[in-house]
Amino acid sequence: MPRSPYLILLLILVRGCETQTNHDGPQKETKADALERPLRGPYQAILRPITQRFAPQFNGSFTLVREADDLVAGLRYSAGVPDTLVIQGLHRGSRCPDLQRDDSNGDGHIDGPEGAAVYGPTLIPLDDDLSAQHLGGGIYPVSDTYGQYYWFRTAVFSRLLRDLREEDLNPLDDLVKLSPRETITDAPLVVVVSGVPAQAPLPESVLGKGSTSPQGAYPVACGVLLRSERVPGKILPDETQIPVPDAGGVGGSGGVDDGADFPEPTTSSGGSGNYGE
Amino acid sequence: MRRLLPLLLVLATVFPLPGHSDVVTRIHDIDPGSLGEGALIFLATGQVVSYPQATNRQLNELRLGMQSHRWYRIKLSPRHEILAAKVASAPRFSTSLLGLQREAPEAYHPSVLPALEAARTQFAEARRDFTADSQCYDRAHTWAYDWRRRQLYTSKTWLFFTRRYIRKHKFDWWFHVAPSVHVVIDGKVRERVMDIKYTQGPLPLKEWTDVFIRDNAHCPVVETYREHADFPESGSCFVMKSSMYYYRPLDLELLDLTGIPRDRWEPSEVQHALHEAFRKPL
Repeated sequence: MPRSPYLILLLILVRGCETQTNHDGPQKETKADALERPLRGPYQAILRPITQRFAPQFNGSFTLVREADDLVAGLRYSAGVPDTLVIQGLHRGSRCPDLQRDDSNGDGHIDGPEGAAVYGPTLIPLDDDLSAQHLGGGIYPVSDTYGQYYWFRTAVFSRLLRDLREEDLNPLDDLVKLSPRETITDAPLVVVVSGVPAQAPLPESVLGKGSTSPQGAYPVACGVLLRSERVPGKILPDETQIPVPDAGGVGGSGGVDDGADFPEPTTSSGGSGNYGE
Repeated sequence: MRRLLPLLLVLATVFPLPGHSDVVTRIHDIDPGSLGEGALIFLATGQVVSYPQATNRQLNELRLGMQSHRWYRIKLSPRHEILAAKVASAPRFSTSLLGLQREAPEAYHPSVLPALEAARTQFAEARRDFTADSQCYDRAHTWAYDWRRRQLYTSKTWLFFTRRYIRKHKFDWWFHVAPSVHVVIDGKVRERVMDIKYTQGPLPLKEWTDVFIRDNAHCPVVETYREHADFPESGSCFVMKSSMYYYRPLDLELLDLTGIPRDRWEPSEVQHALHEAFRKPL
């Protein structure tokens, strides 16, 4: 141990710099963090309709990202089944079901049990509270008149992980736990959204799942969760592909003027020219 | 003084304190926000506001209202916090589905101005008597229509901020839009954004987005609405380009869903934009 006070002071300063924080928050190295580093994400699942029966134009996506100890999950549901309670969940499965391979009774439908045989049990119900499997109370979003909604929730990641590693007190339900050393992304995951209107006519061969009706358990769309490496879009050059017109006139064409009668513009001063409100 | 207090309270209700604003809008989305902070309410106007005083019941009511596409009159503080939210009547124009079934008119091609000076002139002469609390899409639509009446066919440039960016910077908007023009500069046709409220003149895309993006990140240009909507946690921003006929982000989303492009003005939208942004009579 150095005796010089200046060296002691230097040591203190060096140790302080080693615990710098970044804008994600303090970096505390724990065993859970080390195991879960791959989850920092973002992870994404592009959701596609399982069959063409109820929402053939469905498009949507699920994203999952971890920022320090915050877990942020979001789901976009668009052109789906309107005015319907949608049960959404993250399942321990490696693929989505399809009609050709997984319609075990040949009735032209993939029902809840047939779907679950492929995408597996639920690891994380995407309900009102992500912190633990049972805390969300089975409260799920309801699609609007256009078959659309956006759903976003956050949770304390370490709290969720603790819950997922607890003993499974009810192995007979649809929920599954992780083993004590497993991480959330150790095994493949699949996102599934289920639910068609309660009055939707379904053949008797279409079954429900557990206490959920055949309509409630009917899987509508699905996507495999993958690490999202790419950012869409392009950084375009400044010049366009539009050819330079011949001299004289600016050209351009479009729809017929609707004849809306506006007052002529007045030139009064206004506008800050600065950015921000 | 005690006798005056009830009167003062009434006056405060009737005449809002300076800096407070009222907006009539729908709720686009409710983001739970970062842990330890309140929910973020994404308004259809493009604003991102908070509701720190909300009870769980009030937030759930807003969620139900969002699903039902209810309109609200929302009172905002200068710090973009919701002070009150009441169900309101929908404005006279209702949905962007209007006009989609009409006959197809001639195809849309933007005009090309011969030099930057022409764009600067249009920029300088555009109407500037917009209200302080006007919305970007109302201003952009009015300016685009004004130029169209002078046979100048413009475009629109849309800037979408990711949720990641909004949370990180506690940013107040989830989208912004401005008209843009095509101009011959140095022998090539280039696009310039005409954001009359927030800039001093026509700007290239990157310079325009830098006005709003605090980390100076590039904003990739995407071609469909879902391309940016499916990546809320990637990067800081995305840009979309459209013709002048697109009024709000919902119109871009409908294009994705229906495949039917907007190819004409909707009179009620044009008049609504003029009234909302410039307080001109309908």
